[in-house]
Amino acid sequence: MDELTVMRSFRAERVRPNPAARAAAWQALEARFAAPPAAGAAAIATPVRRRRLLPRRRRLLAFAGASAVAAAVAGVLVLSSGPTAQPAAAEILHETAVAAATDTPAAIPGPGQFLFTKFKRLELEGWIPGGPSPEENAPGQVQGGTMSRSDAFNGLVPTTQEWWTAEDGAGRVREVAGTPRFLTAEERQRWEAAGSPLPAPFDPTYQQRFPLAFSHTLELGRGVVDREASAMKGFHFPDTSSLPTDPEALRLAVESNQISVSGFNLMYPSAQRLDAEQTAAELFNILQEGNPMRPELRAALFNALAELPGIEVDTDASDLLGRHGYAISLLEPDTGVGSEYIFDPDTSEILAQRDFISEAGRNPTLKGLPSGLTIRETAYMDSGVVDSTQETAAEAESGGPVATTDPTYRK
Amino acid sequence: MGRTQTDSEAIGASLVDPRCFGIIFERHYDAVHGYLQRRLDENLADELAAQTFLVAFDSRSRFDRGRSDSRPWLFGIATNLAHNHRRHEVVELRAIAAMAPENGAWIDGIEARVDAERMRSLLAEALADLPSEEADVLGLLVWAELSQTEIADALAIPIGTVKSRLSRARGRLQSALGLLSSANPPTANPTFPGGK
Repeated sequence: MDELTVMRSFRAERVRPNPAARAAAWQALEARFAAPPAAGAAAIATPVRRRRLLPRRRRLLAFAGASAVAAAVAGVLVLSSGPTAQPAAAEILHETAVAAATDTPAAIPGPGQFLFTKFKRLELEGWIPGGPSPEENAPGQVQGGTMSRSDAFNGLVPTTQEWWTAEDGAGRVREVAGTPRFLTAEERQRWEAAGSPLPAPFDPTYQQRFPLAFSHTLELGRGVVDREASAMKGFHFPDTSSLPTDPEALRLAVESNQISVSGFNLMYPSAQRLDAEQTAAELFNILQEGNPMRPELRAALFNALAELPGIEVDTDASDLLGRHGYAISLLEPDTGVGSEYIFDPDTSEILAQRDFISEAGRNPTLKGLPSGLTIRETAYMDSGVVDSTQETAAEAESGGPVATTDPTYRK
Repeated sequence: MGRTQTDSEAIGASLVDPRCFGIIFERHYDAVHGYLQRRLDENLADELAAQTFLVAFDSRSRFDRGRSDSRPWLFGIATNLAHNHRRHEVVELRAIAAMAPENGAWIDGIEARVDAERMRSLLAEALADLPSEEADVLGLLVWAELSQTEIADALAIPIGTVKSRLSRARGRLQSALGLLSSANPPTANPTFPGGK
């Protein structure tokens, strides 16, 4: 008998299936798949997207990244810079809460209806034209990072996405790719010389090799993916009706980890207490994804943020679409990645969320990339309840059809 | 029927349709949960197993799809999460160690069981005393059944580091369990913690 044999038998009796734990884990993951679209009270369009896990430690800090981003739109880099902390953060957030309280509650899709959301996303990606050869079994695309292969291209890929989601999770997703922005002029020239190949999901050849699961393709072409999604078991829009609307009670509930709404608090399920940074991140998560939401809860969330120690607001931020707003940034010293939330102080709308490199070299998966580089930004554009997957919220409001795509990629 | 989708393909597909990640959960949840059950108490194991898949899902775009098997990646995430509970793990191991049968408690007919209990206690104490990096490597080898190359992949460390950590850890365990022979000396100071 050797030490490894002894170790193999150690606690072997513990290893047994736990169907309840498995089911709970699956439920949490399934909720993450669904990451329901958040329809803000003032027509905020929050995409159906994956929820970011909260980091173990974040530090509140304001960053002025907007002007750099706007300037970079015409160039090849999207950078943020800063910081320019504002001392009156609490006052700003309390005023925003007043605006939030005057909103009208968002509508919830009824039977036969869909929640429509539209947003633009800019995401750091690496991709191999047409995907790898079938024998390689290698990735054709990496999102939120880059690829080191010599035949790969790396850049920031813009997409316009529209989602129609019914109460059972069924619906339609239409994504249109724009022209990638490259980290260097040389990379852009190399890409153009190669025929301007788009990332794998927007490449019909790749799609034919790896067809989408749980979907029916409506349209598939260069730069366009349009598909119907089937219903998802267990799907539901998040219900925040049980959350307190008193700011202090809300903050204490989050701090003491008493939020029981499914989909929230996934990172610290057993924590006795969240610190200020974790609390801020969780309040934003609720704000972004806890819809449909009562105006009084939106107001409470901003008031709760206002009372967090150390919070700062950058009053000179703008998003991917060039919209001006205020921003709060949460930094992750361990990973060198920060998240910035940009909101409109006049309406309380969340305009955008941006993840960026806050400290170059800290994160091995982002090796060689500069501080300030956007990893992913989502700018929310429109949302509303519609009656079919052919209708947009703007149509529903205006009574007439509008363009739903803007394919701007370079041929 | 087509061929079974590899982990890499499923993760790739999940970037477009998140539900494809369910394949990864179905294939590997039990193994990850079992690994964590070996290391931590039941409640923590349940919690961290769930978190492992949430973290994996959220970071799936960073999975190196040049690797067809996602187990090293998943066990790496689980190990990192377990790291945050190392103190808890050590407390429990010491509790097991404290239940060691007294010397001389040998009773005819049940020697084997008592021997096993004693070995279990000694092992618990040794595992509690292992530096966490060595405990990780050992746990991944024995309980997750990863190869040394896969451990290097899981922990993002060079294979040489895996080998040296493993060698040190095994030396410490051999010493603690009284399994040392003159032909197989420990490669590091067995009077841990902290032996380099």
